[in-house]
Amino acid sequence: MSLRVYIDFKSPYAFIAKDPTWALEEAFGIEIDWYPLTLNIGSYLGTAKTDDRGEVVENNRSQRQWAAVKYAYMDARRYARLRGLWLAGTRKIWDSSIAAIGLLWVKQQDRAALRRYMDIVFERFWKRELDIEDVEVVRSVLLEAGATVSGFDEYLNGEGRRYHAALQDEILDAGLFGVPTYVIDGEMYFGREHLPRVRWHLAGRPGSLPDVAYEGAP
Amino acid sequence: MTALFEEHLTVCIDAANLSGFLALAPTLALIEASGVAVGWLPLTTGLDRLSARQPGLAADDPLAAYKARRAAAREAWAKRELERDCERLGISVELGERHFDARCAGMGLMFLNARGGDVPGYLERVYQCAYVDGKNVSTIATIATLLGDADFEAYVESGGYEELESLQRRLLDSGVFSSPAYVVNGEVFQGRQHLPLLGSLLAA
Repeated sequence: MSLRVYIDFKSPYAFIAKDPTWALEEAFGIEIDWYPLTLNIGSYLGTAKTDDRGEVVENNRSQRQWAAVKYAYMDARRYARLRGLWLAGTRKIWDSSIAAIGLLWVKQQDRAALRRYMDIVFERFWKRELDIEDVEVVRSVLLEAGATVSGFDEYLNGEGRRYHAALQDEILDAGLFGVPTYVIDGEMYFGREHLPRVRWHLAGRPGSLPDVAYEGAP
Repeated sequence: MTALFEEHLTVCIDAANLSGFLALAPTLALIEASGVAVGWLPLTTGLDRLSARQPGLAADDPLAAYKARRAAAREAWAKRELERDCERLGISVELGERHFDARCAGMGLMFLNARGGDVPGYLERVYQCAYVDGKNVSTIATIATLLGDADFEAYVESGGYEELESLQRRLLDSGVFSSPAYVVNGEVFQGRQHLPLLGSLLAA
């Protein structure tokens, strides 16, 4: 049984889902196939920028979009706290494609480096300590994670960039539109509230379909 | 003006929507397990109603093609989720996919609140009527029958719609926009996926 998981480093929901998702590997003796799904957040939640004090300095969001965004961050923060994670609100919508291509790069090399890379990028980005749009920064994280970086720049600007673009097209055509998304043998589960269902599916679908639930309650 | 969330736990629920039907049984189990005082409010306001301003018009929007493809993907996902929801409820997709104007059912809940009636029992009857029996729960007559109270029509005509609309505005202002929503000590939780955390919070 194969499990594909789609993430985006700029999604707080993907960040919170990371560790319980990795735990599926050990629980079910599987190897997760990770893919970047680089969201175009502005296309469905509008765009905005805040200054250092959190004041909005640019705003292209409707009341509806603000309500959704504010609630989403508040909701993500309370579950992050339960997991002991620090989640600072972002000041703009980031282009996470370089970090995504970094994931594709390290994925070809070593599982331990892949996991370390994901840990570092997610945790530092959400502490506002990592500029995921800076190639130098992403390269240094790859190195720190234990990946080889020789040839990364060429990959980023050539094959990796083309693969990333093609992948995004393929993902959308396959009906995937958000993160985290779990795909098991063609069956799609969107959102970490589906983790009980993902486990149920990986266990061979015993009994009836479980309900959705956010986990991590004390 | 009275406080919106007077009880330790307030459940805001769309009385004529599948999301409420799915949440009712586990919500009642949570209430029974926690033993807390509960208030019920009707929620007939979807997020779509907050503003008519949508991102980019297709005619001049460079992202129009992307948005259309993403919307198609979301629609396909929603269809699959509906199938799963109906499977859990043991009803057909044809029954589950029906949509109702939730105002009458919402006013029925307010009517019961004003009279100290049995809200969970009422909700069970409305969902059963709509999604199991396949009837239309958008009418005053149907809701009056489910309430078993002929005074409901007079209640509706004496400002029921205005009261409901006012309540919906206040809920929106409080950050409540999706059914079911749970409010505990002013903190809003939207969706039944929060029930495990709510159970921990209410037990503490």
